[in-house]
Amino acid sequence: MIGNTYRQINHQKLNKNLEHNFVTELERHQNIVHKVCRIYTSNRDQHNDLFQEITIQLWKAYPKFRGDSKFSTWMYRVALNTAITLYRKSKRSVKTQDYESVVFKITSEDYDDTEEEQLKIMYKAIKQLSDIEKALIFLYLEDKNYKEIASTIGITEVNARVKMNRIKTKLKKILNP
Amino acid sequence: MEELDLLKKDWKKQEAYQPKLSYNDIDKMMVKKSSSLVKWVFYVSLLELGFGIAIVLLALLIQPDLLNDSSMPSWLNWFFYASSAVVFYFIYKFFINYKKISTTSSVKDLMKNIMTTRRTVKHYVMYSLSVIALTVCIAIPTGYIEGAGGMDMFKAEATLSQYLLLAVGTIVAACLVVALFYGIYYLIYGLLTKKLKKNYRELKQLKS
Repeated sequence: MIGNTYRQINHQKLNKNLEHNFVTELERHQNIVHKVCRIYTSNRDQHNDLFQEITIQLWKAYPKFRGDSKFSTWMYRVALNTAITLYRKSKRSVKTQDYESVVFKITSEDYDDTEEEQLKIMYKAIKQLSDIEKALIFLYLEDKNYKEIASTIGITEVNARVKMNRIKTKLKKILNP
Repeated sequence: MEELDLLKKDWKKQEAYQPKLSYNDIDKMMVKKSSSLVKWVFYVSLLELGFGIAIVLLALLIQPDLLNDSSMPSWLNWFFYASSAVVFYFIYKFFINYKKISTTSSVKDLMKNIMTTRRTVKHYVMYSLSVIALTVCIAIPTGYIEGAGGMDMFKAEATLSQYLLLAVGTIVAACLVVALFYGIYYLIYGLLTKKLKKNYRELKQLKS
């Protein structure tokens, strides 16, 4: 009886520790999740919904996280899988335009007017890509090499390069119709 | 592509403009319920798998002596037992496939595993629809012939047009029942996995 209670208390303690480690890690790396949300959603409610869903999926998968890869690397997979496959957009809608204007803030002092305009168009163009294309461009912008991109998506490195080139051509066409 | 280099440079700066959630905000999110596709697939599949079992249980509840009824042909008993075994096989296969679904797989593998799980249920639905069609094909002629005074009387009096009417009527009824069930199934399945199918097709086009 005492042994059981002791085991129970120990188990609760372990769970609390696990939860604390997870929340601390996620708090530190939340930027990754926010960036995924910004690419895949079109209003603030959806952003919050997706962030929450990714958090739940990360927490569910956390006990199996062995630490042989970095927490952030592991997060990319779960976050992208949730955004592309698991997340079902809610019907709640907020004016998309309000959100778009704050989606990617461009610091005007760093760029000239032409560059700023180009960036705005680029961010809009990315929103027009398919879910898979968004994942590739996101990993590319996150400075992942083709090997990592290929293994996250589940395609060969050659195909990742081919697909990336196609995306570049597609973006070029959107920018210069 | 110059614009992409510019974008990559700006991408890093975006981190400064992201919302910042506190430890408590994240902690609160963890107790919320998931509304993921996998959860929906799981519940809809359970509903579909349970539907076959519910029909059998309902039949046994209405007519508890169904399996001991001496007027029933003996093959019907065998058919019932075989069907139960098939249903359990599908349920077993469904859970085996469901366990393979993991968010830490690659994007393509996750999609593939969800599709495989769904395919098991799809095969089960096709099997159930075949059983329904077969049941209709047996029940309608049996009922009609019994109504006409039994097999001997029907054979003696039936004209070619009556035979034809019975055959066409049975086929139309079977088709209608199957179409109705398949329509409902297709609607649920189609709505649920539309996005998944589209993305999976795009990935499959890239030969890996």
